[in-house]
Amino acid sequence: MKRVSSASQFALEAIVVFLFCLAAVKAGNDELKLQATLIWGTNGTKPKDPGLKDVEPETAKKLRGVFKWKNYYEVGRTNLTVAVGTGKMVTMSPKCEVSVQNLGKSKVAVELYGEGKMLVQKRQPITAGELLVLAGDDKNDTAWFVILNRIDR
Amino acid sequence: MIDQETTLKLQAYLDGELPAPDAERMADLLEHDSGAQALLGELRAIKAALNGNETEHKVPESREFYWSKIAREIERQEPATLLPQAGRTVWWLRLLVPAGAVALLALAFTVVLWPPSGRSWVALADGHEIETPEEETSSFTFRSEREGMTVVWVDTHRN
Amino acid sequence: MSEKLDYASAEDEALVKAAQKGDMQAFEELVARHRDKIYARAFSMMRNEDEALDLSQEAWVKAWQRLQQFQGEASFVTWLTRIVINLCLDQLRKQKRMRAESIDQLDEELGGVERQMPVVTPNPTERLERSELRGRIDEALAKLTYEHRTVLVLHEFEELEYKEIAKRMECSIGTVMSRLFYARRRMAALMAGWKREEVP
Repeated sequence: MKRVSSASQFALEAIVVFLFCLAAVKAGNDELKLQATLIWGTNGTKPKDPGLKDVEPETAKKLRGVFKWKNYYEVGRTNLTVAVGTGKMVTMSPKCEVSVQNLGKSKVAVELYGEGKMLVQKRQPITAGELLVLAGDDKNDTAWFVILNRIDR
Repeated sequence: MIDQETTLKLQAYLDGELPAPDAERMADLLEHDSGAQALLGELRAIKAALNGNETEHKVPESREFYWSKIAREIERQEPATLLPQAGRTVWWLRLLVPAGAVALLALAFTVVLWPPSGRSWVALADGHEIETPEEETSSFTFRSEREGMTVVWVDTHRN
Repeated sequence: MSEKLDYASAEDEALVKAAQKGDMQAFEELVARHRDKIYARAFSMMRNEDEALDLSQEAWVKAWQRLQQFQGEASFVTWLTRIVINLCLDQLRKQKRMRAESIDQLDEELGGVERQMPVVTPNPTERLERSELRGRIDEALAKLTYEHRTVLVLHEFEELEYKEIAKRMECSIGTVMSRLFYARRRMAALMAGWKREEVP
């Protein structure tokens, strides 16, 4: 059996690792890893609903910094990976859906559907550390929030 | 080979931009100059090919979305024109933290009027779902630089 | 009580009149009807989707602001097309994309290698189906420099005269003629699949 020299083997392995890194970088450039969270805001006490969880303190602090409500509860959360040039639809609640299209160059088009009807559409860059919040009134002076953020960096 | 000045005049002749005396001289040239004839033929062919054959690129956005940005910009530049009632207060300020924090908000906000819509649709869990019939849905966008947040507020109520 | 306008079936003239009185819904109908055409003109000049979207939308906003000035001397669409063309020209001037054009511009000043090209077959598009022809034209247009493409678009598709093009592009009529000639010959060569020879 022909033996491959250790130098050649090392070079081969280095090339393979390099190619994997290139692929990873390219994938990172092409696709977006996002998180969509549905949150309910209220000044009242937390309802007895096992599905409601406390929102992460950092997120709650940001929301309090902008909105008047004191308490924020997470209703649901979904992670999604969207390749460039494609879109994904996620169901946040039985009547709430969010569609995210990856327009490339870290830009997204987000559409919010209520009961199957598109309520709003937003097109904008989405960068790490930034939040895109779609929000509206709910009954009894409460509010709902759909937060979209990147989790790939 | 014909000179540059003549080639440009040949083109102007094709485009009907040559004054009459020059056009006559060009017509005379074309009668006996095969090079000029060939060049005119090429220019004529490409002109004919382009005629009516421009690709019709379509707007890559939905009607509503494309319009919403136009309406928003019109509203931004003419704040009074789109509001249905002259005396309408800026109601959404009540949603926000009092004045001190409001000052931190960036300047970009506008109002978009949406076509008549249905109901509030959030179903948080049993017992939290509401349905509020309404005639109009509006939305506006604002940004908080401090919190690193862009907010699109969807108004599904009429106050 | 005035008759309510049926926006979907109303003529442009009626919609414009209503919009001039502040009827935003009438204006929206005009946008829906003609947005593709205005966007297409912006895209043909900018060859960039985002820029074309922004500039076409800006044109609509300007049209709303200037509606009272529109007296019907041309069709509404023609009037609006002129607005978007001017916006695109302003944008192109701002961008000053000189580097990509420097070689072609030098060629132009020297008389152009295209002037020395043998004439391509009289009709390189003769055997093409219309959709294929449009595709080839679009591809070839994308390969021109901004200034050559602009003069071609304004002359061939907008049917402006040399003088009008010169005024809008802020150059001489002679420059318009040179650019148009170059653009046409380049288009012919591109569509015939001819490869540009290197000038020694």
